[in-house]
Amino acid sequence: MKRKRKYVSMGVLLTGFLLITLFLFYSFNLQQSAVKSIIPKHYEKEYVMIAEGEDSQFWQNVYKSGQKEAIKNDAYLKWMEKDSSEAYSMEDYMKIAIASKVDGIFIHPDGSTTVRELINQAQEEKIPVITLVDDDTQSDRISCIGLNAYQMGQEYADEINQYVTDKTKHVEVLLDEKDTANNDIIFNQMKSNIHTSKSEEGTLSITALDIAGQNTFDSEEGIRNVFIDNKNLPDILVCLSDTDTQAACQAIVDYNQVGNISIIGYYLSDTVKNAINKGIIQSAIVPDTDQIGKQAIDAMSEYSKNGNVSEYTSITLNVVTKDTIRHDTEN
Amino acid sequence: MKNLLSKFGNLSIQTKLTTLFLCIALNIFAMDIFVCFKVNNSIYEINQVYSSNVDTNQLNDTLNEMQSNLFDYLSTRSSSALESYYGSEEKYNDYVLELNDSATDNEVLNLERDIHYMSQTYIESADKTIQEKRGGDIEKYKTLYEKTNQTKQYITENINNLNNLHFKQNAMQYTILLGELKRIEWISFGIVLSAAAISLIFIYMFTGNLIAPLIRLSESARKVAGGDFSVQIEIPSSKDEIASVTVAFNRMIISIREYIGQIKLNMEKEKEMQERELLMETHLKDAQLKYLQAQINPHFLFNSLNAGVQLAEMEDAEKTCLFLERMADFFRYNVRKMEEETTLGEEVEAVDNYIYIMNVRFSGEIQYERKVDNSLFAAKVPSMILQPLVENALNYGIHDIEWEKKISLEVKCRKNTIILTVADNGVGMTKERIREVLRGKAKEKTNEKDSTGIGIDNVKSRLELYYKRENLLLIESDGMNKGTKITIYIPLTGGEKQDVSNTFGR
Repeated sequence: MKRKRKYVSMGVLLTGFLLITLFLFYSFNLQQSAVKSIIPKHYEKEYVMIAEGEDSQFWQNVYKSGQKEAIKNDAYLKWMEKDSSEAYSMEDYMKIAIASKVDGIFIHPDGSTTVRELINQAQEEKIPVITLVDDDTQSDRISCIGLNAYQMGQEYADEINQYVTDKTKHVEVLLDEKDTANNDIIFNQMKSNIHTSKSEEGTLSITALDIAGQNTFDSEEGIRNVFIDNKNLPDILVCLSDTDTQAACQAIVDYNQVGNISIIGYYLSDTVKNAINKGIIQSAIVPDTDQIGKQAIDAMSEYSKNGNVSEYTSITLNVVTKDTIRHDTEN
Repeated sequence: MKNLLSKFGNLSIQTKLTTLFLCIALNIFAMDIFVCFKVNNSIYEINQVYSSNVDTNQLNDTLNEMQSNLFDYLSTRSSSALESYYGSEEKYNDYVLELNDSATDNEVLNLERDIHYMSQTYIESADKTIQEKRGGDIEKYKTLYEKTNQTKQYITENINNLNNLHFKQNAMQYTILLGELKRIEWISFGIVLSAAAISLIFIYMFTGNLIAPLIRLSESARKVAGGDFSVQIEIPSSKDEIASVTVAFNRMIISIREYIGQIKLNMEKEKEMQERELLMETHLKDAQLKYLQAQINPHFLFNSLNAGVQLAEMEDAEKTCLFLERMADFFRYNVRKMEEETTLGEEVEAVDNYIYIMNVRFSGEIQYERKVDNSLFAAKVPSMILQPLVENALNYGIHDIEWEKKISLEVKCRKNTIILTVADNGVGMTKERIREVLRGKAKEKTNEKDSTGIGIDNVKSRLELYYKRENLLLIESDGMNKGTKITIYIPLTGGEKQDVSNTFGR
């Protein structure tokens, strides 16, 4: 009995000590975890990307790949539009970037003179500027990672030719870019290479519709207007941006024109991929967004190391159809 | 460790208890300190939570102040405005220098970096504006002011963003810290409770160890009080006061046991000596008796006395006849061996015969009062216990008095005790004399002619031997000439016949 009492007492003592140790350990860990802030990683350089359309999957992918590549090169890539709560214009972002003395700017220029001047100002302030997708050759930018307008026009033409039949009368190309020079090249290239002979009596008309407005949602309204006018519905609709392609997907369903109008879009967002699978749109011209981001950062790094870089880097264009999607899925 | 425990065990109880309570107090004090520290720490951190917002607001205020001073100077060109501008510029610069200036993957730090460099651009631009103002180039300073103003707007926007981010983070941090404070409260409660439990266990174990020897000691003391002297307590390993008491107690028990043994031995020896003395007295009496008997053949005496009785009857000498009969009876009774037991009735008869004989000799001077309970006559008693007392009363009490001689004999029973009382109205006895008689120190003249030779102390000793008790005989006297009363108390159930002679192999 006495021994049993002794063991019980020892047991309670040990339990008490154990509890106290656990409590102390837990309380210290608690304090540390409560005030623990993640130690930030510092980078040597800060780059900014200025590209309107922070909701666009295209630019999101470009940014992601760019950021990944930047980290490998001891740099941090910031997307100005994404990180800002104010709705600044491209000029404002350029001014902010220049004032912030960033180490490099990647911009998707809108072709305006103001932006061009700001690119030049940045260069004067020893901030290298690289243009993405579209170029501003008149500016002092150091390089362009872009889509060759001629190549793009050719690709579109090839794709359009797939859907031109003897009943095809009208091909509408939607222009949503402020950079009219680029658009002109693409459109002209398309026009030159579309085989009009297939259509009846060669009366295939290829027109460009400028839906780029002053306001944010003007392009979407413009696309809807195309479908409202029943009499002038195109047989083939060509979109040159991912936003236009998605808007066109929605509009063709809303206006019940699936099967009546062939759509050739731009960029493979999830919506577009889905639409291709369902046959709502026929195909999409897809630039390799990973390549854009990666090549941009590599060019900037090369410039920063060597003081010069290649003037232009072309990005691969792919054509995505239902078959290619199925093929990729099976693999 | 064992050494330490042993040393601790050898400390005094006061030291041990003081040490224990000191340890407990320190334990509780330490826990309290810990709890206070943790809580204070948490409160301090909570207070610090919104300090980043305060700093950011100060940055914004200073920027506004700087812009305002710039505007004042450009508007008024006063030296005080310029001085204020430089003052606020320096202050603003100090704040800016504290901001992060490198690219990171942290949104807050990146904002700080942007603010840092934009502020530098702003300050450069503002300085240039002032220079142009002082230089008098209106267009240039106006353009520069616009640029400065716009940069200031960008900075303000970024500061607001930073403030919001800080606020969000701080709100989260505040909630986390509040939660942590709550958890720390519970943890502290748990720790204090555990510490209290540990302290209680320590106290329980320690006091248990301390008190265990005391409990054993008290248990043993209780046994000893109950008469069990065979207990022996295990001596504790410590050398404190309890160990000392335990050792002393053990020694005391051993001493008591030895003392008891010694007393028993002494009592046995004393008893043996008493028995031997009694036996010797008996032998002496026996020898005397034998001597007498050798002188006078008892049968011849009885027969002669009987012949005398018959002769007296024949001569119608009734008184003589009665006297001789009484004599014969008396002598017959007197020569019995003292180791024989007899009945109370025979004892009373012997007294009656003796008084009769003495009264004849003393011409009826002796007033004999007899109050006896006949129902007790069958009780077994040692022989020759009453007659010696009566003889004593006669020879020493009333023999030489000048007033009426009285002797009384009372036999009664009270609560299973037979009370035999022999009283006289003689010269009485002093207390000293009573003591001497009872101790057997009084020298009795046993060789006197009128004595049967059996003293009071003999009667007392034989009674004690027979009944195996003491204090069976009581002598009372109120003093000189106040008479004497001797009382014998004997149990109604009887005693044990003592064959004293056989003890000595007679």
